[in-house]
Amino acid sequence: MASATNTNLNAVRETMDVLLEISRLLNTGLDMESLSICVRLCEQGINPEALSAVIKELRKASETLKVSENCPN
Amino acid sequence: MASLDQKSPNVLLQSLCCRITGKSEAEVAHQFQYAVRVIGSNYAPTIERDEFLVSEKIKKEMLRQRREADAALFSELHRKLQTQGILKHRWSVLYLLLSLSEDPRKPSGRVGNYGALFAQALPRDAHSTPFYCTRPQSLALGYGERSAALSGSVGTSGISSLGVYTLNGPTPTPQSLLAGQPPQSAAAGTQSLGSRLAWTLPISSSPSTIMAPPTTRPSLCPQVPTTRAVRPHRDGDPASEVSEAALVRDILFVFQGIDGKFVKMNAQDNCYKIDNKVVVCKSLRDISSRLAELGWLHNKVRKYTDARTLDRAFGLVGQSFCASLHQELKEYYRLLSVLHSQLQVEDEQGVNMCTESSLTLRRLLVWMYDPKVRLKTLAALVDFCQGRKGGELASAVHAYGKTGDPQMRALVQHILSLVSHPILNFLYRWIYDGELEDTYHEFFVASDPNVKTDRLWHDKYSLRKSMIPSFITMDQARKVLLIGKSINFLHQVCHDRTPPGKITPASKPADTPKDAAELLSDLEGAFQEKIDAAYFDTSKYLLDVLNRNYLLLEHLQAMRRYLLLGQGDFIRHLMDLLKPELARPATTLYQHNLTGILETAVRATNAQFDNAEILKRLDVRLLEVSPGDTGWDVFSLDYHVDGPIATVFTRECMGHYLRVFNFLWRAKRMEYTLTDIWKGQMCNAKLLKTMPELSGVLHQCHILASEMVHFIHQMQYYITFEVLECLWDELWNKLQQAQDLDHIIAAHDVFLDTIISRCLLDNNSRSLLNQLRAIFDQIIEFQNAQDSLYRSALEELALRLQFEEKKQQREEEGEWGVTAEQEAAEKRRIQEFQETIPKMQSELRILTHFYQSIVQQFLVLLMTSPDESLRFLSFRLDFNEHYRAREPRLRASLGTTRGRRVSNI
Repeated sequence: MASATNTNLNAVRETMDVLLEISRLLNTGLDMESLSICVRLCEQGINPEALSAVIKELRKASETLKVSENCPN
Repeated sequence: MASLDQKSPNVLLQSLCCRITGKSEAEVAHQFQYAVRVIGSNYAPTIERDEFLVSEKIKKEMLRQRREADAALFSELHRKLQTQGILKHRWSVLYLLLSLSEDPRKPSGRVGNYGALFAQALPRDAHSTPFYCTRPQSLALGYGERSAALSGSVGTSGISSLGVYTLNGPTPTPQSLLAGQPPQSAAAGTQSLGSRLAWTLPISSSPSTIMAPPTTRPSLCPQVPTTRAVRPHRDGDPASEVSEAALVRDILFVFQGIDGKFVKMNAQDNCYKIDNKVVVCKSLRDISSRLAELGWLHNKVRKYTDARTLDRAFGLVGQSFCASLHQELKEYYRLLSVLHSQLQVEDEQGVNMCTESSLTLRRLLVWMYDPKVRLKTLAALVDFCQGRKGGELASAVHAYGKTGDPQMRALVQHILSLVSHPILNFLYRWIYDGELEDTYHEFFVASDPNVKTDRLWHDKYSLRKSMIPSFITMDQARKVLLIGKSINFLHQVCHDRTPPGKITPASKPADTPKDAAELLSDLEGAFQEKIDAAYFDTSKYLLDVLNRNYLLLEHLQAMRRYLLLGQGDFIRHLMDLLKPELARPATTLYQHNLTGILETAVRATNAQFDNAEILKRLDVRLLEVSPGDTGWDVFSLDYHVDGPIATVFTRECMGHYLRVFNFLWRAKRMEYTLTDIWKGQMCNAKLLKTMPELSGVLHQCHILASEMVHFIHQMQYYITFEVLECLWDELWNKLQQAQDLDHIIAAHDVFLDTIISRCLLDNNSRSLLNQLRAIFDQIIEFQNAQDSLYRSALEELALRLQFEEKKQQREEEGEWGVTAEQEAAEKRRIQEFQETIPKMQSELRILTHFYQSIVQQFLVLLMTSPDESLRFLSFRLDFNEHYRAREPRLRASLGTTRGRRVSNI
């Protein structure tokens, strides 16, 4: 049972590695953790398009946040 | 990780927000709200759930960025991912990565673009946020369920988005490609295709309505076409289901009668069918077999035209029928080529298969409906016209034009106009030029080349009943026959060289099938008028020529005057002159002698003022001599006819005329004989007064003679006034009203036939004629008997006078008037003479008796005759009921008529 969990974990890790590599190739700008969250969301059947839009929007929001923070400073 | 997997999407989403913005949970609450709304809303559902396509797209994107090495690396990684099989939604992850990917060469503007997108999307979906907030697990719903939920929740307001969804959602079309093709261009393509197909479609159905069924269709079963359309592109596995596109391609071949890859001619069932081994959806199989019927119909029509085009004996009408079929097939081929080019365009566009303008079997079914109806009509025509040619074929086509379907009627009318064009051409050539250019015997007028010109009118031309097109009535056909016949008659028999154009102001013949069509549409009007005009003009011209140049009416009158004994003075004189000749045995008669007598008779009577042309034709003819005949039996007048008038006075007619002449001549001779008898009686009455012993015999003679005279007078009256004059008047009226030569011939034939039957010369009244002949014979016999009686009486009278004279002479000389010896001789002679008187008396009595019995028989026959005029004759013959008193049979029949008459009064 433990070994099965282990192999499963290994497989998951390998998959994540592959995905990370692809992500890097595609220049998505996602780190390991964000990627894993995204993968999990996708696995739950979330619309990937919507998710991508959310991520893009979040990035933009944080960027503007940073700018606004920088400006008064 | 396993624990993470249990987390709800919202938790994950929150951590994602923290992770990306790099802030704490509280700080990102606002962003989180947005994220939940976006995810929960149905924002951009237009994505393909196909891993293969997504990966292809990624590769394409990399190639576009000129990163071939990276593309290869990606394929490797993707393959690895596939082998691991941990992820359930690989396509989803890949798609996410693809959407997030950025061109490394232009990293700057990567964020700014999305603001507008977000701002646009949010307000529209704002209302749904609480819904999804309260029930975050609904985010995990599957596609099908969600779309159903959507259509349910959006209701009427979401129709447009629904349309977008249903159109693009299930299709495999990549977003980029679809975006690259502006929607209006697709619509334009559809429209142009629609217009190209428009010839087959009713005007009322605009392209939009044509498109309607296919556009709504995918929403009903969105899954089916996707899998079908895509599979063959991915793997050309023959064992799997055949795609609709392949079937469409096949069907287009089948439309032309060529076997497709899957749809093949099934010889057993005689139809095109999808091979049973091929796996295909039942509805598609059904539709394609319905479409394939077109191929079968096409083959049928094609086979017919192919077989007939080279068959020269099929004739012009058949050829034009084939040509019209070809024309229709050409239109059909044009349609097929349009479909083919459409298919080609689609091929060039690659995967873009199921857009609005693409060809599907259902669409074909709609588009090909009208062509199918047309082809069906053609096939039915071909079936019906099998083995027919010429006018028969035109009739067959015409029969099919009687349909309520305006389109079908137009089609058949068009074919009919083509088919009837050669027939109308024949017709115009015939009625305007009298020429028959019918090599293949297609026209309804037939000509017999073996008939000589003298029988041209009667036998040469005839109607081919089977070839009369059904749109031409029998009456019209007869007129047409008559017109051409008249023209030919004028040319060949009358040697009239008038150009045909002068006879009729010939309207131009139908040069084009269009004219033919116009004529066909107006058969009662213009066509009838044309035929009537040609008929009147030609017939009138012909009658004019016959009357003016060939004296037809004068010849008829001559027949009446000479052969029917109308010219009394001439006949009487001729009989006077001929009497000594004709009393001789027939064998001693010579025609040249008689001809001389005839000429003398003509010169001496009013006949001399007749037209020389007519007198020239008058001749004597001796009938066949049988032993014992006298000249009376064989003599006959003759009238020579030749040229055009021989058409009216045919050989049979002349035969009839001769028979009638013979009868009339015989009756005339009886009259003549009786006149002689009467003359003898008158002359001798005084002379024989001196012989009182003869008075009894003479009285008998007188009685019998007057009986005969009465009979013959009544007979002559009947023949002259009741038969000849009445009929002649009838004939003359008909001749004045006659419109064509046929009318004249018919009237003349009726005239002759009636004369024959009224003169008791036909078969029905043979017994009557025999009685009449017997009566005539009795008259001749009586003449002979009376002649011998008078001869002996006159001889005796002469002898007595001689005796008295001698006696007187002697007395003057002073001698004894008679010696006893002389006296005794005289007495003996007188005694002898007186002894012959009873013999004569008995002879006469027998004759009288015989004659009367024959007359009685004749009267009985007349009474039973069906002809009314003959019954009147019998009444006239027995006016004083002399015979009725003797003949019980007569009494009975006459009594009944009398009784009736009395009761009528």
